[in-house]
Amino acid sequence: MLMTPKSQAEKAEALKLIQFEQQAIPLMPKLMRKAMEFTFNNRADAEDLMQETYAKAYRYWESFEQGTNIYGWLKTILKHTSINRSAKESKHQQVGVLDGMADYKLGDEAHSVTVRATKSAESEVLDNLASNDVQDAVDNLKPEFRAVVQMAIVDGYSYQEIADILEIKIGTVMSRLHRGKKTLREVLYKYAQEEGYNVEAAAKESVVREAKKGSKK
Amino acid sequence: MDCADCQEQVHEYLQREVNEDLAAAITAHIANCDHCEDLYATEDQLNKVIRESCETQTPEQVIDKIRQHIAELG
Ligand SMILES: [Zn+2]
Repeated sequence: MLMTPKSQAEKAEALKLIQFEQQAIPLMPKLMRKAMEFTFNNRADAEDLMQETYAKAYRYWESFEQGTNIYGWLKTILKHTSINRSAKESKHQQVGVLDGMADYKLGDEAHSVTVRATKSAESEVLDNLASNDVQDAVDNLKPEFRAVVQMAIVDGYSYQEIADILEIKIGTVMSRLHRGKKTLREVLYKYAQEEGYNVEAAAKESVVREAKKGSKK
Repeated sequence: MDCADCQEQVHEYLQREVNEDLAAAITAHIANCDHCEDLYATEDQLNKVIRESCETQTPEQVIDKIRQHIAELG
């Protein structure tokens, strides 16, 4: 059978899978015992927890420093995943947890302030991007930035949790998140322009809107 | 709370890493400042598109493999 030439990305992905299978998978029995502990010996829960932990470990793989304690690293992810799962369960009836500022408990006074419904020009641009573009842009971040962006935004980890898992300081978590997002904004804006989305028109429209509203400062 | 303070904290605000008092101050500022509200909206939107496009990022074949290994644990 003829092998089709693989792209650089495919090769990297294959290598990653090999590393993962050689280093992370063999630790499963040991991790499973921990998972059973965390789930009070409920096997089905422990298996779910393991699956989520390993799926995350794979996603964060580039952020794991090769040659350091992989068991400790996996155990930290397991622990935080377990905590987050039970937290999620206990508040699963609360709505809008991820909805911007919706779940801040503010005084009625502050809460009644209406936030303008219109979007900024830039957020409209973001809205019009293809999902592939975004994934691409995230994939192309430096691994140390990507890990923090993913953990904070996609998986909802706290700064403290990210600091624990990546063994970095909270200040470093913050600066990587800020820089990662800044890079994403720049890259995605460029993508939008390349795809012919009329960035200037959107910006102009927004200016007109601002002018119409007048100043409320 | 001025614009510079607000902009410096916008990521922490979005990640819920600020205490209630600070959160209230930022919310109040955003409600009264178009510029900071735009910034907030953009960062919030960016988070949303990141979440939507990266949620299922572990490849299906890797998940299958993980599942299979877990099932074999016995
Ligand atoms: Zn402001």
